[in-house]
Amino acid sequence: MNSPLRRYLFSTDHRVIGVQYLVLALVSVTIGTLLSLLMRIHLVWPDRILPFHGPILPEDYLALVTIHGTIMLFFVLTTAPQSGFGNLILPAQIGSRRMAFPLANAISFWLTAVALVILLSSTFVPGGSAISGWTAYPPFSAVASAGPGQGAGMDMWLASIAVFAVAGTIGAINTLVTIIKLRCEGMTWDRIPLTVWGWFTAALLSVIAFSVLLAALLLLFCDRHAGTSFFVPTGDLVSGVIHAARHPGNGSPLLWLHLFWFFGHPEVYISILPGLGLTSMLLANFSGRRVFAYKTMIVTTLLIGFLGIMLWGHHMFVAGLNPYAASAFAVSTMAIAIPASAKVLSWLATVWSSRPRYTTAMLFSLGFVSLFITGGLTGPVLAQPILDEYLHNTFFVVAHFHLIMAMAAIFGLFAATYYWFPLMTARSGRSGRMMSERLGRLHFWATIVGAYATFLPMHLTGLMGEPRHYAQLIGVPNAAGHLLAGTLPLNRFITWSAIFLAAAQLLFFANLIHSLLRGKPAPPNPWQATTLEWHPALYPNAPVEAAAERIVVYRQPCEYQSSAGEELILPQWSSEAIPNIKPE
Amino acid sequence: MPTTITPTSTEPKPKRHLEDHDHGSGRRPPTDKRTGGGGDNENWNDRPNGHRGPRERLIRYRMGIFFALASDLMFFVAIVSTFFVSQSTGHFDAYNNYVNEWSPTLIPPILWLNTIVLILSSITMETARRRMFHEVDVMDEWLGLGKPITRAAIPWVAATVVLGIIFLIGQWIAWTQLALQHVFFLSNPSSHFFYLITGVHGIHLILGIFGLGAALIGLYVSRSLETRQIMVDCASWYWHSMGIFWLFLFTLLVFFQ
Amino acid sequence: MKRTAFNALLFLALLSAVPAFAQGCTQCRDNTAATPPATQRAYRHAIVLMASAGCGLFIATLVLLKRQD
Repeated sequence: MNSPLRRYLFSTDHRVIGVQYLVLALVSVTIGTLLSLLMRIHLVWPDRILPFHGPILPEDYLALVTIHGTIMLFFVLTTAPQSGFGNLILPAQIGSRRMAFPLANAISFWLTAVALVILLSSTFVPGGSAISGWTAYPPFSAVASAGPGQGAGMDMWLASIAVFAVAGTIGAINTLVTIIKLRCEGMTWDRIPLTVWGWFTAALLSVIAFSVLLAALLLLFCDRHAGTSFFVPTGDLVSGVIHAARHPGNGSPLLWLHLFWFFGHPEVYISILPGLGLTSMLLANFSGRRVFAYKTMIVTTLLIGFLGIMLWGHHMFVAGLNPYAASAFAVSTMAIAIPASAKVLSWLATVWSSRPRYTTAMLFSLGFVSLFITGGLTGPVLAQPILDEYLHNTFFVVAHFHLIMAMAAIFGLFAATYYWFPLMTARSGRSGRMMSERLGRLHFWATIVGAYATFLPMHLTGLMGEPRHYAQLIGVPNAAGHLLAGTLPLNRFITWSAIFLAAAQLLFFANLIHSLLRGKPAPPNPWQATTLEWHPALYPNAPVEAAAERIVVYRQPCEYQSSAGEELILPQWSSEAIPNIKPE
Repeated sequence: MPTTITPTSTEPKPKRHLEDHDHGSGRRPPTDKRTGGGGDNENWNDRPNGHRGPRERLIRYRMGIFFALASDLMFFVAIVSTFFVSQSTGHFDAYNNYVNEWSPTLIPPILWLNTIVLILSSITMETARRRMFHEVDVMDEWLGLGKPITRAAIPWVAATVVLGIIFLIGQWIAWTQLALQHVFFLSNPSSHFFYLITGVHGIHLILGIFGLGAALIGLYVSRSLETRQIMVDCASWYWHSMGIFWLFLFTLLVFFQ
Repeated sequence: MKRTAFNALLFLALLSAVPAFAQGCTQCRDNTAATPPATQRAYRHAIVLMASAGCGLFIATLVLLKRQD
């Protein structure tokens, strides 16, 4: 019962599970990054021979695209912020000592791990991994003869994502019930930290969206193996052969797109919402200010989630969607700019003419703001069906979502790691460790320079007309070849930047290992934070007696007060009256 | 490298004595009282977690099952949306004629009987659920007079299991009847959906029967009244929802093909 | 009164914006033109059904959270 295996591997403790999720995400992100580097290198030096593999064929390139996208979106951007930090920090932030369903929590993690193993092992089946992208559009994904990886590899992909969807739903239910039922005394909804609101909204979206994905996967499975044709049109030409399902039907890929993106768009928000909340909290924490317009920030978080349910059609503007539906989706998509801009304004107003402490976590939060703006500004551009028509299948879109979703979310994750590292490393009888600030700053500057150098030029190559999913830019005949050749100098630059960006992450690993072993011991509440995870009785190294201590919350988070040069920090658990404060 | 975190025990150590009929809530009777019983508008919700009255854990689990069912609802909504789209989609054949192959699947009459059986099973399940909260019996248990609740509820849960199995057998008969008329899964877009919907719903019911079986075992084995209440309560909400989902899906199959 | 007029004007301006009219690629137009009205209607219903189910669940959960306070 108390064996180390039970305590650290098959544990039901939320903090252990959180660390497990983070380790899983770290493994995944490493694999995903290496795959993306392979893609970048292949794009500009197509003749390079990969050791132990041989030349990268077009189908290999597509397999790289697929596995990179699937791993990054599902196993990094969904698991790390939502399940990883969600488990590590969320219960403490609402003043609880546990999650609502510990066993379900552990089951959810192990299902996720199984899903990852299935996905990775799909490389070794005959034909290799699936090549239809993380979106798996039919008929490509529905017909085994459509490509090398579309047989067994695609089946493994389906199995992996189905298991992941189940795991994600279980985890989300756990998060929701925890937030609704396990809040401590005094934790009213306007006192819940914005990070928790981010986790709450993301969990709610998971509950709504993942089961739709599951239904779509079931129908796709029927198309592949039961002879139906929900998604395959009649008389479809696949690999030069008219595809004859055992039952020729009236399917339409558009149907898959609807179902998939009903899931896919909320999924994007699942990965970014925790980061949005964290950024608000960290900016306020390090500038010693209240969050500007706290209640509005709660509303905008929820609004982003709510609108996120009904704008999936903007992924389908060039997929044969009815133009009237396209207009409706365009309007709902642009509406998302309102809460998003409100968030940006609140961040700016929070730090405006304050004297922030530029810790690494703060720097990464500011980086998040920067990337969120840069990536977000192209959102309304792509939300116009007319513009999207031109840009949709170009690198412009790649630049857009890599900046706003991938890079911004990753910056959120880095901020979270630097900020909460003392909590991750504290154990009973010993305080946690800080990450090295010097290495951290270096890591930040290298990362933000690398991120912009990698993804900003992609806008330009996209505008020049470089299409997505092309395995090869060199050796294309005629005018297209000219066009692609014109993008090559920029593409070489992008590849070098990507290599630089990836190499900069070695600093992070170095910092991680160094700080785990010899990090400075962290003082209690090292960042002068106001949220409950730094409460002495909820701290991981709290003495055993503290487990019985009653946690009560008296105020909103981030109540900093500077009067007459005196900085006053009022944590949520402090019951002191605020001197000289005007009633709201 | 001792920088690993120390796991806390996830379930708080029960400082309660089941022999003493203490349910962790301060040895108060486990009945559904809104107030904490201390007078002066004392409210359970003003207390810290884990001390919010005898139904705290029950409500937590019930909420969990409700979210799971909400997620399941979206699953069926997705399938029903596909149903509508497939129903009205046709294609142009080689002679440029527009054909829509959808021809409604004839509903085997036995499905009406099955529906009645499922409604009956929901009634038996609700009876079982209510027995679990029957105040006199709850007080009897609390006072230590055996397990009257288990005795009262087991027949009803067992009846639900039997009715559920009858429903599933009925569905199977419906499938064989259709097969005799040479209507198979692959015959028509409409029959895809008939088999898909009944099949997926059947799988859910099989899961439900496993849940009921677990609840039956729990009723025998568990000594904690609250655990037994949770098991029956969650199983029954799941079962009711499957009943309601079936009513919707059946209406869809009968009237909207 | 002035406020209402202003809001009405704003609303009209929003309605007359380019995105308020149907936009789509030629492929989308062709595809839609080739789709029988019944199919278009089915898609419309399916979109509304999915969106309203999702939004309904979202709002229901918020109400639940609010009532737990």
